[in-house]
Amino acid sequence: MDDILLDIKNLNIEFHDHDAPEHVVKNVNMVLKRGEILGIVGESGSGKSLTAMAIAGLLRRHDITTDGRIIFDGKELLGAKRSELRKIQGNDIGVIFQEPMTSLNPTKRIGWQVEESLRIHRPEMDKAQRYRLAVESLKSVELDEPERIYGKYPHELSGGMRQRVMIASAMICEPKLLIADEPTTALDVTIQMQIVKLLQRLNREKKTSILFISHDLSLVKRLCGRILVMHDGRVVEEGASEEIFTDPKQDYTRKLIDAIPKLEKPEI
Amino acid sequence: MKYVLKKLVTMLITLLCISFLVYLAFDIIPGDAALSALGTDVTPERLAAVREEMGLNRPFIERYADWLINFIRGDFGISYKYRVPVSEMIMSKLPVNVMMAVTAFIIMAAVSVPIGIYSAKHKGKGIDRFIIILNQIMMSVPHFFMGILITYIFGLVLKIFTPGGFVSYDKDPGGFILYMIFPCIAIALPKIAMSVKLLRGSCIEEAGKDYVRTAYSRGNNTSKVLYHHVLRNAMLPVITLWGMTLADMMVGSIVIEQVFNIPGIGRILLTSISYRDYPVVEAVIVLIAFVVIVTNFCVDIIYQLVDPRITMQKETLNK
Repeated sequence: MDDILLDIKNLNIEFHDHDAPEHVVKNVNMVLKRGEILGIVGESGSGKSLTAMAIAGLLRRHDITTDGRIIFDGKELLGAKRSELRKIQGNDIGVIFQEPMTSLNPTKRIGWQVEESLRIHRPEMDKAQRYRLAVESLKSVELDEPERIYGKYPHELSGGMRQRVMIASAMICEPKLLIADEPTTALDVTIQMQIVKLLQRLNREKKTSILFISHDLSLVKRLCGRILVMHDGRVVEEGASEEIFTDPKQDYTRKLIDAIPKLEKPEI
Repeated sequence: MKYVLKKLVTMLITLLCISFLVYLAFDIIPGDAALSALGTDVTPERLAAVREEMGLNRPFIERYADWLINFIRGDFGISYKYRVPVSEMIMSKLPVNVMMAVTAFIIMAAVSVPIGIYSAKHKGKGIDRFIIILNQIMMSVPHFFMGILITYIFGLVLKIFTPGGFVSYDKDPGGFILYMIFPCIAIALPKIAMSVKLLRGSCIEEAGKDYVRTAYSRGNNTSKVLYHHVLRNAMLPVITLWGMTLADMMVGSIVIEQVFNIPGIGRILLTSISYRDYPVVEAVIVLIAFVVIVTNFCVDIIYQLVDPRITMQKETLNK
């Protein structure tokens, strides 16, 4: 089997919701290997989230045009029919988002939402099987008392817990790729580290490839083997984590690294 | 459960306040029930005697307490004008209003939900624009005018029913339903327009929320996203509107009653106000308040069933 899971060639994304078309992703190329954690960093507006949403098939279709190729597991996604795309969404590609507070439906129980991908992609499963898998999945994201969480509503959980629920729901079909779009931005620092460690463990244990999108270089450095730096819709630098941190080729990357707050000893 | 109990107590207190205010208001406003019962050319002695007989000379609080106790027992007093028990008068008309409101409500719910969803789904397209325009027209035309139009079209041109030929439900149930369906449509139309507008807006708003994107990311198709995710959230404001609408339909169809010549509560209220038939007016007003409050109570309970966040908020407030 090919060890390349995701191959993006010359991806262009253009918005047409204003008078003048806006070119927001320009000729992006990237490759993600099976089992790899790839980080995409860049400031807001750099096109990193849009690239991720294009892979997940979550871009609106009526006022956005895309061009290029997104080959996932041997299948071309950009030109694929929606029905074909839906077979992949939630099944082979799981997504977690930036806002755990609003990414879950407020009127549905956690269990129902975690199981949703199973109901869609594993219709042969019965209720008991789904319940078992959902509880297992909640357990695997290190939530205490998963049986109790199963029956709760989103507003009864904290932000960190909700993001774990999101991960559990994205991982329940054991997808080949997990797209994490700024999953820690809305969380406080200690929770951020826990989520990063959790993603690391899931990657190790389930062999899920992860596309980790963040503007936080220090987090990306901890988690990802390889990093892609995006600026103004283009990939400006790409390389192994250490390489980028020790020897950035681009000014922009250097600026991003300099922007990481450092813990310095106070001068006494 | 505690929540329900608390709501019940609040409801009773509200009703008590309303009954007091109503009783007080009719005590304060000028006009004498004894005088209007006897006519202006009565001798002062006769007037005094009747006032005594009607109990109008006793202190206000005493009269109110008496009235309230009887009211709770189901004895709403005797109509000054018609000399029959008020409860009988109301009970003979109530079924008409309840039937009318319930039918209009069902028509409204059954028509507005599919149209609202359809309109939201086809946002910006020709059919959606057409629905919006039609909605505006329906909303801005008062329901009595709609009633007149319906009477003209269905009654005089198409001759489906006889205008003014109200048939009582206990005489001819079939004829009653056939007659009542038209006023019900007249009442329902503006409300349909309002719910369609509200539901369309809230569907579109909900569809832009993050959890909808999550739902799509799991491989849901559009209709699954709509029916499993969006609709329940989008219905929340609509339920509030419907609660008010139901109460409004129960008691606010006075004009429609006139247009279609239906003997209902509204007509009793109008005539009893002009005759200063206070026992009737008081009973009808308290009844109206009762209907409004009970409907609101039911809406609160339904709201809580639909939106799990409600109880939580109430509990946090209590802490």
